[in-house]
Amino acid sequence: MRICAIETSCDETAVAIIEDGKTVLSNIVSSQINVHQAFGGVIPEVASRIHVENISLVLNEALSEAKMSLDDVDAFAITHGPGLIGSLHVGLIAAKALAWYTQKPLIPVHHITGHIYANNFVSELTYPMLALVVSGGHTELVYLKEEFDFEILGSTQDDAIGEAYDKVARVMGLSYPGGPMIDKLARTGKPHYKLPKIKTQNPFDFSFSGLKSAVLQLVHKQTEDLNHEDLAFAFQEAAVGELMQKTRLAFDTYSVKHFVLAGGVAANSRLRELVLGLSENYPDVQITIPPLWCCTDNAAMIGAVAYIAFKHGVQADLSLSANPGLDYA
Amino acid sequence: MITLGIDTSFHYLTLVLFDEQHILASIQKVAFKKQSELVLVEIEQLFLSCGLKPNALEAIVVTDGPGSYTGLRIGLTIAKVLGSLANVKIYTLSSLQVLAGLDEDIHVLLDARAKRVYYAHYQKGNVIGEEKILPLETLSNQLGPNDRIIGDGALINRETRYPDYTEHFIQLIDKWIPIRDIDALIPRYLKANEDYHP
Ligand SMILES: [Zn+2]
Repeated sequence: MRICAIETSCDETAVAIIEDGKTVLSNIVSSQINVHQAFGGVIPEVASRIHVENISLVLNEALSEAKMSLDDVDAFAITHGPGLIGSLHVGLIAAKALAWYTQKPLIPVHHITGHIYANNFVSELTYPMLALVVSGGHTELVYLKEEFDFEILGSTQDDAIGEAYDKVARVMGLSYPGGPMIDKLARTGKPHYKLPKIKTQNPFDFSFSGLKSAVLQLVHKQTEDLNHEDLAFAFQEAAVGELMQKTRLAFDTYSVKHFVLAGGVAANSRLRELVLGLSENYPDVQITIPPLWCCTDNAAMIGAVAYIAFKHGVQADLSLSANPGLDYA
Repeated sequence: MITLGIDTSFHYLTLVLFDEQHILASIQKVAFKKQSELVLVEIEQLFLSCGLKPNALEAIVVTDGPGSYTGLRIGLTIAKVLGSLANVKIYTLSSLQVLAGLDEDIHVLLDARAKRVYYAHYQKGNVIGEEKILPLETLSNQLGPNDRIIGDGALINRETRYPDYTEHFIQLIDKWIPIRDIDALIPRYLKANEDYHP
């Protein structure tokens, strides 16, 4: 089954052709990062405009790289949330127009499930599975007792981790996107600054706003010259440490055969290192981290999960809406 | 030539399916903020009601602006995708022009929010001067009591009037602009976003 998957939830116009959920026949991503970098963040109206400019070109490129015509596509998959409403609309309308014209199925996809199932490109997934989802909009522990069955064990009570990274980067005067900059600085930082311990009511929930405020206070009250490397180190160790502590707790509480990392912040080098290190204490759990190309948004992962969703009977009609706050569990 | 006329630029979702000179089926309904959910459902219905398969579609004539930004992107995305991938010919019309049709002399105004209107003066399908965005006040001072208007008249204490403009798509056939580089087609937003110029 060949799925043409479309992803326009934020600032990448992406189309991929995926065969049987596993084989990437093409994977085209047109990034707007250069435009948004100039503004220090994504401007929703600008993002929507660029999606409209790019959509037909990116679709054409994906088909021609896969050496296919529209007739060879068996289904269309589309991210219909969460994301920026105007951006979601462009991809959604494109997918619906093509599904109607070709009379092929339309498969609705939740963006985050795409990030989780991107790990399918690395290794066969086994269940029960635990996923740590870390991105600019999400921070959560998701338990999949079986394939395509999502239960959220805990999620952030305030900022998402990617958001916290970006805010801290901004007060430190680093350029957008700030996450990778902090990660880089932290590599050469040393233990020096002390940041507060995080507390949440549900032991599986996360919270990052206190950490962010503590960094802000340090920056504003500075009496001596602030050491950026050391500050980045302190923040990163605290933030990533929080993720790891909750993950270990989930390992100890639930039966987990496979653990996967998912989302944009899965590109963080320290997090990848610590996640791979889990196998030392949990040798029976299979551990998978997504390839770096699957940490940024793309449509290949949407095609991967759409194949599984379709097997589970997920299909939409042409009235499908864009839903910026879509839930999946 | 089986042609689909699409206008999603404003309050109404207007779709017209026609064949050379005859309307086969059409719909015009209020769809503000619901264009995305409705448009393909209604297109599907239109084709079914005529016993036509989607791939019978040979051409699309779509309004490319001005109007609601989201609305414009909906109509143009359908046109771009089918024009670029499915060999459907694409033509554009102005959203103000399609309201005016071939009227002898008419002033078209559409709410552009923030006390502004999209405005144009049309005579027999030809624009007099140019389409522009104007403050409400400027336009009410400019229009005389005998000037006939169409669109959101209530904004300047006149009557709001939307005719059934489904037939205008065919009547304006000589004004259709053929689009050769479909991938480069973008909405005419009129007020360019302050921050971004492609
Ligand atoms: Zn993402």
